[in-house]
Amino acid sequence: MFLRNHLLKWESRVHPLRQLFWECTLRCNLRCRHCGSDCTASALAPDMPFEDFEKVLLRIRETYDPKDILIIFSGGEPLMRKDLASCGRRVQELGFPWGLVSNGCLMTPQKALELLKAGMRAATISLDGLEEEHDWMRGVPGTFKQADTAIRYLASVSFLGFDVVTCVTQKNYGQLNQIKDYLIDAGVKAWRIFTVFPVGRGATDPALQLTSEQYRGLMEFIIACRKEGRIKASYGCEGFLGPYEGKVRDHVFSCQAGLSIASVRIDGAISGCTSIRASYSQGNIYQDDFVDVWEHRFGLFRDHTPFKTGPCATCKWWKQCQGNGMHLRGQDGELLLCNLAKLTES
Amino acid sequence: MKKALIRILCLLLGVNVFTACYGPYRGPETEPESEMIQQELEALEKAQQPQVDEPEEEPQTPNQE
Repeated sequence: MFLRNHLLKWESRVHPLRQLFWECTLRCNLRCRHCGSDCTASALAPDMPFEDFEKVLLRIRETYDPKDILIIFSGGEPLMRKDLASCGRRVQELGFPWGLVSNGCLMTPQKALELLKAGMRAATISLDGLEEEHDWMRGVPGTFKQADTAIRYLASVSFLGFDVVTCVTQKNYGQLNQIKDYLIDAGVKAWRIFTVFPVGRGATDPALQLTSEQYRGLMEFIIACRKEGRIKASYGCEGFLGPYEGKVRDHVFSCQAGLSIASVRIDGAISGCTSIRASYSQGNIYQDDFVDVWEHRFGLFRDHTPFKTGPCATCKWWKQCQGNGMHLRGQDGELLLCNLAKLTES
Repeated sequence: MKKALIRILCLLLGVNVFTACYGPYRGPETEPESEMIQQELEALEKAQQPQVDEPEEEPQTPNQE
């Protein structure tokens, strides 16, 4: 533990940028029940012109080695942008690896090939159940079939870092084994599971929240999958898990927002990851130099001590948890969800 | 070398400095223009090309001389 804390302090000091999210559009072709960003088909915020983001990349590569930094196109649904392949091609020309997070509906084999040829080397497709449950969650019939086509195609590409991400809710909790079997049959090697956090459209929908007993059951399911070894299941970065740390992920928890992860939001705001409240933005690409912001701001991201209030003030897990994930903090710093409390309550 | 050692140390100690958070995890660390990738891309492209059927031979009529 001493060594790990020491290393985290080193990381906080060095903050090596490893992932940069680009919220390239807020437009989306679906209306998912659990969406954290409340995006719509015709988002009020216009897409960011690629040239604006390109200036950030040009500045970054002056200071850091671009091949160490994975650029991730996120949204909204990034494939709503017609110029995505040309954006990707330019990102690759600049020396950065790139990937995207997509609902898969527009990821036809033709589109996938176009993106692969443009340098796409990592991809995540969301799948929230088998046909009925997935379509219910996504709010549009037929989306399972489209995601299925995308998943089977991308899983067959050997040089692509590919995983499927599943949001577990009341609706699909009972079919985890069937989803697992489906993914294995589709050739998927890595499966990332998460649960709804209380922000955005999913915050007030009880059908999306697991009970504490189900939450523990989900952890046990992931542990069983990992022991079985047929698919590499893991729990997403949804916070500190106490007794389950070291069992459901390849690593123990630490929020990497502002340590190795940054984002450029649709309005140019510079932040840790795109799930974090806007009040934590550290600058804006239209006014500030990205590298200067990354090097000299992000204080709260790199020292969570101000979060040691409320339930965290006397918690015996503070040293390991460090106040949970930044995306689980409200705009005034209040803790929106303590995963550990949920896991341990009866 | 130093970077590799830090990376190994981080993995051993469970600090996710080099692993993904919300987004996709990195693929295998291959050069973007490596021969292996180019070959696989060519194969994927070929698989998507429409199959061109061989033109059928004209059936011979019985009275043709």
